[in-house]
Amino acid sequence: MTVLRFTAVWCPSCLIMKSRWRVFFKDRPDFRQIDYDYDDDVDAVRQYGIGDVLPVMIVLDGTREVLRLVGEKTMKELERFFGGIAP
Amino acid sequence: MIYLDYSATTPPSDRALAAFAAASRDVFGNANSTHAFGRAAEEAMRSASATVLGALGAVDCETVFTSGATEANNLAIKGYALHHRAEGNHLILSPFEHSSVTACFGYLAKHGFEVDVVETDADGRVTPELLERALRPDTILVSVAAVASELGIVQPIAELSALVAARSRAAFHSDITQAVGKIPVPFAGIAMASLSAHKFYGLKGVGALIKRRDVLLEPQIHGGASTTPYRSGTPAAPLAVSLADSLAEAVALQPEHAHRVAFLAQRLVASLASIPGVLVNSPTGSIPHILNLSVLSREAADMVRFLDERGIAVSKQTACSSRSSRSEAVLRLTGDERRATTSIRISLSHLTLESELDALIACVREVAER
Repeated sequence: MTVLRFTAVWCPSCLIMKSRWRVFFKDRPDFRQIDYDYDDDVDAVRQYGIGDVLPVMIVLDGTREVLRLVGEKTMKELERFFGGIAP
Repeated sequence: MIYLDYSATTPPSDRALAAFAAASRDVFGNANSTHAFGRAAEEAMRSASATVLGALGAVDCETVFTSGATEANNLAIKGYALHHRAEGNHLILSPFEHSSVTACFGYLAKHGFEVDVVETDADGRVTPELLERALRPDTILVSVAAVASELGIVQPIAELSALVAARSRAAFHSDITQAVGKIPVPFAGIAMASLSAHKFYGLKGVGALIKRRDVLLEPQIHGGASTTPYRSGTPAAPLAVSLADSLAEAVALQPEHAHRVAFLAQRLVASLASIPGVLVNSPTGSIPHILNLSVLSREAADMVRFLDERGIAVSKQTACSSRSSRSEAVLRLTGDERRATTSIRISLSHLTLESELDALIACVREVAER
C-alpha cells in the first residue's frame, strides 16, 4: 500500500503530524510513503483534490483510495483509522 | 471607521515618524562608508542598538536590525540551525507560533532536520515539564513565542529558557513581537529574540534580532561587508533610530498602557459573556490586548466581512488553511470544529475607545441573536 502525504512548510499541524508519522510508520515498513509539498507539487494537489485544510494523508491500495485523513490526528486516532487496513 | 486589529499592525506614533524624518535628514550617509557621513550613520546605528538593548534589559547582547520580525525569525532559526548542524539535528517549537517561525521549521524539516512540536497544557501553555520531555541530547534549538499572536497565550519564557540552559545544549529563541510594549519580557535566558517596530507604534519595514554576542549564525542575506556580519546591505539607519525610539517609548509606557487595555478587555469580555452563542477562545492568562472569540452562528470570513461593512476592522487567522476560515490553533486548543471555523481576533490598544467597543458589541449581538 502507498501513503501519500500533503504538507506545507508554513503549517504547524503539518509539523505536528510529521513528527507523529515518523513514530507511527517506524514499525510499518510495508507502507510506501510519498511526500508532497502543497505549494510546490501543484499537479498532485489538483490530481488528488486536496482541499483547504492541511495536512492530508491518503492511503492507496494500488490506485484505489482506501483512507483519507485531513488535519491533525492523535496517535490513537491513527491506530484506529489504520486498524482496518492490512498492507 | 473603528480599528480593532492592533495585533496585525499599529498606527505609527508621532515620535516614530519624527525620529525617522530627523534621522533621514541628519544621518543620511551609508553606515558602511568610512567618511564622516558614514561614521555618523554608523554611530546612529550603534546608539539605536544601545537604546534597544537598554530598554529590553538585554545584557551581553547585540542587535541585528532587519526588515521586520519575519526576517529576524528566518535569521535566528535557519541561521542558527544551519550553523550548528554538526552539533545536532533536532529542533523544537511550540504549536502556537507565527507562520514566519513555523515556516522556518517547516523549511528545515524539508531539508533533513527532525522537528518536534512540544505539547501544551489545556490553556495552550508550554510547561517546563512538557518541554523537558521533548528535549533530546541532539536538540540544538528551541523556539517559543512569548505571546501567541492568534490567541494571546502568554508562555512562561523565563522558566522555559532557564530549563533549556540547565538541561540541554540548545539555544532558546523567542519571537517577542506580540509581547513588546504589552508585557515585560524576561531576557535573562534568551539567546535570541525577534521583534518588529510596527507592532508597537513604530514604522513598517524595520525589526530586529536581539542575540547574545556569543551566539553564532549562518547569514541569510549575503553581500558586501556591513555593520554586522549577519546581514549585508546598506543599513537603514533612520529606520533603526525610529525603531529604538518607538521601543523605548513602548517599554516606558507599558504599565500605563497595559492597565488601560486590561480595563477595556474586562469590559468587552463582560459584555460578550451576556450574548448567547458567543464564546471566548483565548484561554485564561492570555494578554488582554488579544481576544479571540467565536460567534457560533457566523463563519469567520463572513463575520469579518459583516463587521467591515459596518466600519469595524478585526481579523481572522487561518494559519493552516490557505482559503478556509478554520483556525487550527483554536481547534487544537478547544477541540471544537465550530469554534474553529467561527473564530475571529479582536485586538485592543490603549488608543481604543469604549464607544468603539460598544459598537462592536452591538454588531456581535445583532449577529448572534438573529
